Amino acid sequence: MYIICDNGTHREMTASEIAEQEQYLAAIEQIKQERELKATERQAVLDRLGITSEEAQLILGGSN
Amino acid sequence: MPNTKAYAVARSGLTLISATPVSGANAVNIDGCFTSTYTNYRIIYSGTTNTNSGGYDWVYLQYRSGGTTNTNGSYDGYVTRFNSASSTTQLANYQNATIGHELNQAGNGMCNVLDIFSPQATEYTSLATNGIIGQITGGYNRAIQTHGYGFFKNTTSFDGIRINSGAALMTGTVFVYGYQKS
Repeated sequence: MYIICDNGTHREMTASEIAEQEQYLAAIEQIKQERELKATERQAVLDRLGITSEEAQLILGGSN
Repeated sequence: MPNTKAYAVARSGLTLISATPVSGANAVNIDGCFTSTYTNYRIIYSGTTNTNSGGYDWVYLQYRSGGTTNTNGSYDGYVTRFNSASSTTQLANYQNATIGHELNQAGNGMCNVLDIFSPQATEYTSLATNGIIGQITGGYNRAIQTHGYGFFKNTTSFDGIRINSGAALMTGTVFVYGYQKS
């Protein structure tokens, strides 16, 4: 069950809104997987270089 | 002798259009907030969401026209996200997205300031947003600062928005202001 605040009125989503929301969640899941894959690839590069993520950030100009 | 001095009228620069309280909702629609009265708008959302499962309960902004949410794949943009716990910055871009502009992650204490440019006119609509999210439940102890920029690459005229938090439930208030033209 999904709840929508529709211009101030809280109600359950209609069937068409639920379908839209499930498409939205599927798209979010795809983005999540793509970003996790990028993070894995990034870690593999760091491992090859023998440096930590924090050290990479220092090289790239990051700071506290 | 009459006082003939002229005094300037004080103006705030912003006019409140709507304030919408949200309590435990996956999404919030605000329709009719964009009109020909204003060209540019500021939206402030402050509140919280009930989950932060891996930080992937993201919050997105979608535009609406006549009560219909636009999902036609015209949302482009990118976000930068600084994580206080790891001192790392994540960069993410998106093109041809159907789910809107990425605003923030879900969590405890979430706020975003959005400037939306020319949504009502039949012009391209742009977005700039800054936000902060605190994540202190779900195994986290961190603040995440987010900057986002978006471009809707069609000249569609919009009259409303949807803020969508996916599986997470939002509680808070959404304020919509219009920038005065003079």
